[in-house]
Amino acid sequence: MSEEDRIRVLTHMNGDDAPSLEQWAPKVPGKTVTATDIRAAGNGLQKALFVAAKRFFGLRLELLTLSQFLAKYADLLLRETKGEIALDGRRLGFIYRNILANRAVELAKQELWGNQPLPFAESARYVLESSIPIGLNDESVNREEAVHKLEICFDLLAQYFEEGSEIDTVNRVYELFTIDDPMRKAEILLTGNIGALASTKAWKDLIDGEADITLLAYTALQVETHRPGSVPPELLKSLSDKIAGKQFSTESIPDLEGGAIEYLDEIEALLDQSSDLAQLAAFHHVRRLVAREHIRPQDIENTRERIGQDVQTFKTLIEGARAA
Amino acid sequence: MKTVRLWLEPDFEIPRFQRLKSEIVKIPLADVFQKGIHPWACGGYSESLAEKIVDIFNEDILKLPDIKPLGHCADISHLLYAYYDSRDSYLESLLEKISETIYFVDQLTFEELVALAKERLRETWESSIVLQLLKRVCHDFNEMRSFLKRADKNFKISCYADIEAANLAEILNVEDFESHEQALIAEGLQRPNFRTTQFIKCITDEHGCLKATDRIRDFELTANIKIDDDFEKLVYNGQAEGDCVVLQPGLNRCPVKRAKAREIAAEWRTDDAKYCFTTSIEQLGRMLESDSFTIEFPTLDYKRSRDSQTSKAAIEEKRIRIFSIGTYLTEDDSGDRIKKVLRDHNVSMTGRKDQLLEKLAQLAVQIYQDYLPKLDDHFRQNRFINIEEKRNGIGRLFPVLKDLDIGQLILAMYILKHLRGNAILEATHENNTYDLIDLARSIVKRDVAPEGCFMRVQ
Repeated sequence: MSEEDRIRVLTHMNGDDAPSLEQWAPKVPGKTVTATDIRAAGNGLQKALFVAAKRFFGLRLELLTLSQFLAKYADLLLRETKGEIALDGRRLGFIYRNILANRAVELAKQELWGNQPLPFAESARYVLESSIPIGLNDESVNREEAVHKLEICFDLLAQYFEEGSEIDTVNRVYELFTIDDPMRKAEILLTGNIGALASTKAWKDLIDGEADITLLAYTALQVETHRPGSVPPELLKSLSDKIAGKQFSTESIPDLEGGAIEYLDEIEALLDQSSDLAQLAAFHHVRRLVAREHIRPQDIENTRERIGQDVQTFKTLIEGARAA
Repeated sequence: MKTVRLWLEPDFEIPRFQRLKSEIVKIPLADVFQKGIHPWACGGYSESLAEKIVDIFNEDILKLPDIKPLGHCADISHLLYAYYDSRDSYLESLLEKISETIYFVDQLTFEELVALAKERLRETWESSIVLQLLKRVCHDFNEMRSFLKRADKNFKISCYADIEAANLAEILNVEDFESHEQALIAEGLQRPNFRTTQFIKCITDEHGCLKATDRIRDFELTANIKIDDDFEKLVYNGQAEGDCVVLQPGLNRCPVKRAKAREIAAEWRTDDAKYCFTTSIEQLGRMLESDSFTIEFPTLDYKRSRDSQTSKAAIEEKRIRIFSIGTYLTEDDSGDRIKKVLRDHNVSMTGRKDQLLEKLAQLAVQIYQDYLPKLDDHFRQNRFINIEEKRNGIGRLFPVLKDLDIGQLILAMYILKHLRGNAILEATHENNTYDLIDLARSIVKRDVAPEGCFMRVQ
């Protein structure tokens, strides 16, 4: 509410406000609003709500993927806050209706009175933050931090509300922050149009995290050599430090145990690769394979496919970088 | 496979009582896996069997209710000593101890026990035994004197020597000790300890073979194989399930060992596995009979739960090629070494060490400039990524300037000059933080150095 509006509200006297004034000063009009004004405002409001209701249904058809956006937002928020803020289906439904209703009213006001609506992303952010009462019932939640994370998660996906934007961007960002596959992460980071905020945060999370990102860092730097600027320059050294030399040999792969020994030859065959990247990808996937409690022939086949997919992704990235 | 067979037989002196006897006998291998018969001298925690037998032995149900309260069914100790040179020495010593000190009977009342003691004393009645009995029932000389005077009023006693010298067997008889039943038992039967004959059924199968568990699952099979004139062990961890056993070999990177494991599997398996094969217990028996294998039960513990051993196989060594800078001259090196390089390049060798280092830096700059086209050419065609690797000797030398005596110093200069973002080594990038001479000085003074290793860009 603007300051001007706040002043108008606080000086406003109407209805049941100050009823004794009319008693003690009968000839002086105490109310600041006339019955005509009230009627006019009521009519205007009614008109706006009729228009907004129509807009609401129009927006619902227009934003068929809003539910997907909210579902992904809720999951991202849950991960980012490490389970502190969990939005259930009812809360998400409430937010869904509020976003549409608030936007519908904004559009109705524009249509009736020419009021310029906020950018949709701002409007949605306002509704979202207003609809999640963080910390009202739980003193353990640090409200400022929670609101900050809530905003970050929204900003990561906010491209959704831009004119002409598709849900694909949301999907890519969501995938970037939720998948484990390092090559897919690299692919999204290096080729996906995910926005500066998502990109910066993803790189920072990767570098600050404790997970082994050798394969991703190696791929990113390879692409960077072919297409300078693919990786933020300030991150080059950090990424280089994340390429752990100890992952460059079979010493990084634990011994096979128990029944897995039966597949010794097949597993070793997975490590016969012609290029450094293919071998690095093989080390990475075989480490994961060997960590399984039981290994079946199908698991070995799946690992072979994953190595092949990584090599193919890498080739595509490098060729794309060379062509750029 | 062998085990201990146990049985009871009448005592030589008192046939009413039985003694524990044992012998080592052969048994089918299946009896070990399927019935839990103890594998003789193959167990891992052999003392645990002895402990378990002691636990069973000390159970109340095996004690004789009539004589237990009088202390004739005493517990035996868990403190066991292994004094035989054998894998089952704890067990051997325990069996020997039980055999020597324990009487086994089906039933025995206190009256029967006293009667047996009296009978035994009558058979062996002599002065030394009477003297021991006397000492058991009398606390001092006066009591002994009174006891003897009651039997023979004319007997003259003035000291212990008189008692010891007397023919006590003549003076006293068993009936004189009638009211001292415990002394009669202790002396007649030499402090007897009894158990019911049920004991043996608790620790053997129907053939008397020793067992303290229902089945034994885990075992270790070892094959002695010959590799380059040396004998090496190929160890399998095995598990028995029903009539079959599953064998998993422990393998290292030795190809001969792996080939042998495949050969063994092909010869003895009943499935089509290459390394971890299944075979029948019968077939396993034949493997042992072939004398090429030995079997052990290293996790066999009758008292505590032990995890099965797991076989492991090391994966063949493979390494991605990475490169690093070799050692180069710095201020840590001796003056003589620095002088040698200067001399080889016709540079004056006079001066203190800091002056020699300055000359070395100037020489490095000169050579750097000479070799720059070659280095640029190489690194234009081969770009590298810097990686985190602190271990020494992991990377190989860059395939350039390898034969030049200060080649590694020149390479260090080149790398620091052309490392983009401290991450990517490429000829087209040039750092201008240092001019060449400052760079060379900083390197020889160890102020800066290229870190980590490098891998080639594809």
